[in-house]
Amino acid sequence: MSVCFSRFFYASIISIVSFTSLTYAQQNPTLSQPLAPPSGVGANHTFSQAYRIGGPTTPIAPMPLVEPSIFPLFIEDSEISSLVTLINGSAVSSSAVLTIRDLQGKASPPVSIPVGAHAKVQIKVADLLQKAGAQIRVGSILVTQGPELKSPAIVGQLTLSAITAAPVALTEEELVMPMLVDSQDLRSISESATDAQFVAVTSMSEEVQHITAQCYKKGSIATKTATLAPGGVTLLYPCSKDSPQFEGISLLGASETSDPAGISIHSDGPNGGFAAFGLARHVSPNTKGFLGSLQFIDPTSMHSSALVFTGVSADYSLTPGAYPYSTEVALANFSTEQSHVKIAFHKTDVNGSVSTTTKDIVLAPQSSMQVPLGQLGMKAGEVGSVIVSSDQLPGDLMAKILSGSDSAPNQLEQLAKDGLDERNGGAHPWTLQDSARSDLVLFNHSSHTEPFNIWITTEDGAQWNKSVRLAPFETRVVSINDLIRNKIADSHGRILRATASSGSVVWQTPVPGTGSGHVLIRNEANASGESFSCGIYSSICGSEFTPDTTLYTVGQTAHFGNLDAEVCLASSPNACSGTLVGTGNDFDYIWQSLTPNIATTSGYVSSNSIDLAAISAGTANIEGFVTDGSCAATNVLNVPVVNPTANVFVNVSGSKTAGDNLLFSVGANTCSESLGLTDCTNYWLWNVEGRAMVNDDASRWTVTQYVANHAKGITMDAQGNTAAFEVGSASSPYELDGTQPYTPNQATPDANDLFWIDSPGIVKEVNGAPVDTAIMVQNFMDNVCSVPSPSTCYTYYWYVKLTISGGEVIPTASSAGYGTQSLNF
Amino acid sequence: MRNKLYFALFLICITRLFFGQDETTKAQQLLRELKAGNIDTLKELTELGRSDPGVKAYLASQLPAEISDKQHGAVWKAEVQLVGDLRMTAALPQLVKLLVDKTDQPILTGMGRYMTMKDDPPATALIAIGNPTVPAVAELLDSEDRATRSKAIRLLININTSDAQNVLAIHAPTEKDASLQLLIQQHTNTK
Repeated sequence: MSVCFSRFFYASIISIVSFTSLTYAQQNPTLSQPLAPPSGVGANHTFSQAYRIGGPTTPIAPMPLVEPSIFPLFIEDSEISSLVTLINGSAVSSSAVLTIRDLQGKASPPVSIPVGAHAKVQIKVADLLQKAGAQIRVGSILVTQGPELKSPAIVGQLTLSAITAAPVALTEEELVMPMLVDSQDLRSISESATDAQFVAVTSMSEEVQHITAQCYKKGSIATKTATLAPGGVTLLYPCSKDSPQFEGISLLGASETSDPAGISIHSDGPNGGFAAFGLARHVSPNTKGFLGSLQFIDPTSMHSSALVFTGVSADYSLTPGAYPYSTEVALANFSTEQSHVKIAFHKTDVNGSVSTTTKDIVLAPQSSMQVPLGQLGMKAGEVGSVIVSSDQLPGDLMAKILSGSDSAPNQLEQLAKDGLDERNGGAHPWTLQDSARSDLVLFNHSSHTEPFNIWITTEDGAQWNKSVRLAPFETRVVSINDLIRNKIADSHGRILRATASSGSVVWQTPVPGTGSGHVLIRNEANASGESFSCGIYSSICGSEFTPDTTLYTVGQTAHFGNLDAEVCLASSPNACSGTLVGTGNDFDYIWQSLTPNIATTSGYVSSNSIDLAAISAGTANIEGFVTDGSCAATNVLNVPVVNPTANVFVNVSGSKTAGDNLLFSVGANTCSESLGLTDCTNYWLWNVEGRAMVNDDASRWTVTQYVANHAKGITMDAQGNTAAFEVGSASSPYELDGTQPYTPNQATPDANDLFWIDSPGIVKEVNGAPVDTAIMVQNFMDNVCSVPSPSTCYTYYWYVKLTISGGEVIPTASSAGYGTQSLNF
Repeated sequence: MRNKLYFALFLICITRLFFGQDETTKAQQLLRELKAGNIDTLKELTELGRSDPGVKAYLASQLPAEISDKQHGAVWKAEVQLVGDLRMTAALPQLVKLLVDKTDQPILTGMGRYMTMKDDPPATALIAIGNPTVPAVAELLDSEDRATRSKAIRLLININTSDAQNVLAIHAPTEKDASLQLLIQQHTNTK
C-alpha cells in the first residue's frame, strides 16, 4: 500500500487532503527515451542516461502496481463538500481520468481532466458528479494518470470543507496507490475523540472480501467484521461499543467518548486489494469541533521503527496571540510485547542551531495511550521536528501528533513518516492566491548533513531550482513568499517572477531515509491552512552537460562547463528512470580526463563545474560522472585542443579596420585618424594599423614591439644657416619600443582579431630651425605571442621611411610596409 | 703596545677622512668636466653618487640649479639623467617645471616613444624617481593645458605605482578631453 504518510491540518475547516503519486498508466520496464541523442564537440548540451550503480546497466523493473490509485472516501452532502486537487510534478503534460464509485462499487462514467506540466488542477466533486450524471453522497474516486507519464507523476489531494459557516474541522485523507506486494493488513492510530472512530474500507479488488477490524485501546481489544463488495465501500465503527450504521458526518453532538486507539484492518482478499481511511470526531463547545484523520498504513511497508514528524507546531499560528500550541502524541503498540518508546524533539533556533530533548515511554502490549508534551519550549521563530521510535518491529508502533491552541486554528494534526521511507522526496502544490502563504518545511532526520534539492515551478512553467543543505536533525522552512518577494536567485541565477501565484514544489534527497518535508499553505484571512506531504520516489535518470568552452588552445586553462543531474519521478526506489522533474547539481561528482596528455581536469573535480587545462593538440576526452549513491550518469565529452596560431600584418593606407576601436589621438602626435602619410603641424608621420587574426581569443595574445631607427638631416633657418642633426645610426639595434599599454591595442574577449596602431614620424623643427632635408627610417619588429602558450610567437617586420626635401615630405620617396629598410645612409 | 694601538686607530681615522674627502673631491672634478662637455663622466658620476652618500649630497646641492638654467643640450640632458638616476627628490620642483616649460619636440616620434616619454629627459628622470613624484605630478592634472595634462597622465601611467593608479582613477571622471580619458581607461583596462 503506497500512501502519503505525513499530514497536518487545521481545525477551522474540514479539508480532507489526500496526496500521493498515481499509478503507472503504462508499465514500462525499460529506460525512458533520452531527451536528446548524445552529441559531440560544440553542442549546446550533451545528455546521457542513468544506470544503476553496482547493478545491471538496464534499470530494474518498477514495483508492480495495481491500477488505478484511489481516494478511499469522499463525502458530498448538506454539511460537507469535496474538492479534488491534482498536481503534475513532472515536466510532461498529461491528463487524469477520475471515476466515481458508490458504496456498492457501481462506477459512474469516467471524466478526463487535462493536467499540464507542473500544473495544478482543482475539481469540485459536485461538478464531477454532475458531469457523470451521478447522485452519490458517499463513495470513492479512482484516479488514473495519462499514458504519457512513464512513472507516477501526478499527485492529488481531496479536500473536504464544511458548507456551514462555523469553523469545524480539517482532515487529510491519503490517496492510495496499492501495490501487489502489499499485505492483507492495514494499521492506524486515533487520538482520543468525543465520538467513536469511523472507518471507510474501500475495495480495490473484483472479489468479495471479508474484513476484520480490531481496536486496541488501553487494556482492551474490540473486534468488528464486515463484508466488502467488489469495488465497494464498507463503513465501520471499530472502536464503538455498538454497531451504528453510517448516517452521515455530523460534527455537533457527541455520541460516545473514545480513548486513543490503534486500529487494524485485515482482509481475506488479495494483497493490495483494499484501502482504508478513517475519521475521529471531536466536539467541543469552545472549538466547535474538528475531524481527526485516520491514516492506514501497511505495516509490512515500514522499514523502520522510527516515525518522523516534520515541522511540529512550527510557528503555525495564524492568529496573533494564539501561539504557542500544546502538543500531545497518540501512540499505539500493535506488538504482543511491551514497547519502549523514545520521543525525541529536535528544535532548530533562529540561528540554525539544533538542540534535542527526549522523553521515554513504556507502552503495554496491544494498547494505546496519549502522551502530553506541552509547549516543547519553543519560542517565536523557532522550528522543530519529532522522531518517535520503539524497540519493536517496524509497523508495530503507530503514532500521531496533535497540537492545540485556544485560538483558531484550534487543532493541528500531523501524521508520521517512516524514518527509512524509500520515498526520498515530495511533490506538493503551493499558492499565494487570496493572500496565502506557502512554506516548504524540510527536516533532516539523519545524523549527517544532507542536501535537499528543490524545484519550484510556477503556473506558467518557469522553474526555480536550488539545493539547501540541512545539518543533522535540522528543520528548515523555505518561504516561497520570501523567495519571490526578495528575488532570491536559484543555482542558475533565475528568480521567480513577482506575479507568480501558484504552482508545484518538488523536493528530494539523494539518499532515501534521510529527509522528510511538506508544504504548508496558510491563509491568515480566514484562519485556514493545509499541509501537503505526499512522498515520491525520485532518482537521477540522466545528466545534462552545458559547455562553456568548446575550443581550447594549448596552454589554456578555462572553465569547461557544468554537468547537471536530471532527476525523475519514479515508481520505485532507485529506478534510475522515470518522468523528468528537472535538473539539479547537489550530488556527488567525479571528473577525469581519459586523455591526460591532451587535457587535464583542473580545480575542484568533485563539483558539477570543471576546469580543463589544455596540454597538447588533439581531441580531449573528458568523463563526467554524477551519482546520488544508487543511480549514476556518465557523460564522455569531446573537446578539441589546438595550437594557437596568428596571422599578422599591418595596414599602411586607407581607413582603420571597422571595429578596431582604436584612436590615434589617444596616444600619438598624429593629427589624423586615417592610415598613411600624414602632414601634421609638428611632424611628418605615417599612420599604420597592425592586425593579428588568431584562432582562439584575442585577449589571450600580447603584442610587443621593437624598433631600430636612424634619422639624419639638415635644418635651415630663415637666414639660410644650416645645421646637421642625426638620431640613431646605421647600426642601430632593435630596442623595446613598447608593449601594452604603451602600444595601444584592442583585444575584445572572445574576438579573434587583435589590433594595434602606431604613427612613426620625424619632427619638422629641430632646435628652433625647420628641417630642410632629411631621411628617416624606422624598422619595427612586432612579436605577437600567445599568453597560455608563451613559446608560441609570431614575428612581423615592417618599416616606415620618410624622405624630406626642401622642407617638404616627398611622397614618392617615402613608403611603409612589410619588411625592413636599410639604416645605412 | 698601547702606543701602537693608538697609532693604528689614528691611521684608520685619517684614511677614512682622507678617502671620503677624496670621493667628494673627485665628484667635484667630474662635475666640472661634465659641465665642460665631457659627457663620458656621467657614468662615473652616477656610480659615485650611488655608492657614496656624501657625493650624492654634494650633487644634490649642485644639480637642481644646474638643470634649471641650462640650454637643452647634451650636457643638460646628462645632468637631468643624473638627477633621475640618483633619484634626487630635491630636484623635483625643477623637474616638474621643466616638464611643463619644455616645449621642443623629440626628433623622432611613434606610439612607443610618445607613451614611454623616453625622448623627454625631465619625464624620464621623474619616472626614474618614481612614487615620490606622484603628488607633484598630480597637481598638473588640474592644468587647463591639454598637453600638460597629457604629460602628467603618461607620467603616472609609467610610474605605475598604486598611488599613481589611484590618482588616475580619481582624475578620470573629471578629465575634460575625451581622448585623454580614453587613455586612462585603456591603461586601467590593461591592469
